[in-house]
Amino acid sequence: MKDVQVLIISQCDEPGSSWAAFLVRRGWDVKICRSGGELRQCACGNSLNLVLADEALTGELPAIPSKNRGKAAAMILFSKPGTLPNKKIAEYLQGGFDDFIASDIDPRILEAKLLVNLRWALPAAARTMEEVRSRSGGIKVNKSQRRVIIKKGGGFLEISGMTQIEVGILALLVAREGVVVDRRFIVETIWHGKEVNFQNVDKHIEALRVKLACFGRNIETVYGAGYCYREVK
Amino acid sequence: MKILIAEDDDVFRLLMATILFEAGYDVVAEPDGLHAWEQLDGDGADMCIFDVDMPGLTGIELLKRLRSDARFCGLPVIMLTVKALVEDQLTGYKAGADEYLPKPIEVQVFLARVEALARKAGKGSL
Repeated sequence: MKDVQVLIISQCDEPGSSWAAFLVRRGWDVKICRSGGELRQCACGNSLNLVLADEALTGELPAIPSKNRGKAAAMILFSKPGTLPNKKIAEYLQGGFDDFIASDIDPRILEAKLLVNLRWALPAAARTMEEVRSRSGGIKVNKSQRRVIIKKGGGFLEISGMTQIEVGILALLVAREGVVVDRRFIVETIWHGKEVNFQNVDKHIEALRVKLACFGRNIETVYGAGYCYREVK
Repeated sequence: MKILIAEDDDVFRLLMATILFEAGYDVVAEPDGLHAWEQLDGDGADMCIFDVDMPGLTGIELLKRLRSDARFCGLPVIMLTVKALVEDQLTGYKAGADEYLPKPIEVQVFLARVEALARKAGKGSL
């Protein structure tokens, strides 16, 4: 989503690089900044910013009054687990930070927290992040509500019985309409690093095609590469 | 600012209510999800803190009920639970939780999180 930008400020590669890789795969626009100056440069565009700041660099951050913080929709502080005393964490939260997380947080939880903060700052943007639709508007996929709605005969039809994995794969393909998405990318994004056979992906795609009925043919198999969502006229 | 607590453990419910009351909040504490829903439906609240495992109506079911009701879909909700696995947390966030905190709590940080959420929700600190 291009109107919302996640800015990670840290002098270390990790966890920023891993978080960025995960979030980009999930459709977020992410930038890593190494200093307060770089952060200010990145933050001066038109995007609404969700800032993830390394506690070691709090001295470089602009003042963060809870009111009038400009385009920073949320300021989330992180540090290595167990390095910050509770008193200090409480002080940061009371001082205007919206959240505190440990650097070993599961990236899925991180994304959930970003969505919560986005929901408070800009509800419409949060809904957009959770919902993916094809360019024609023929199909809408809501990831958090696990809902798939297709346009049919002038009306809309909700597809029932979709599993979380099927909805995740479909959202991934629809968000990259016209682009071939390889199986490895699907496995990494949907199963988050678990060992999953590519045939497993194929089975879910088959199930998806059946459930989507006439829209199922929009999921093309690209042999030797992966799958592509393309609406057949 | 009025906070509604739903917690089936008597000791923890009393502890939570005391901590929040001493911090200056108005507190209503209910022993299960159904009573919490009745309380909310009748008198409302500015923020909710729910345990996940409760008899009758679980915290997640209660949260989903809130989020599907136009009156409460924007109400800040903290889930407080011993179920702290990643999958449990994701279930909570997907159901619409604003915070998902594991028990036991550290009082200072907990109160700071309540304050931060109230600020985000535009309800001020107290």
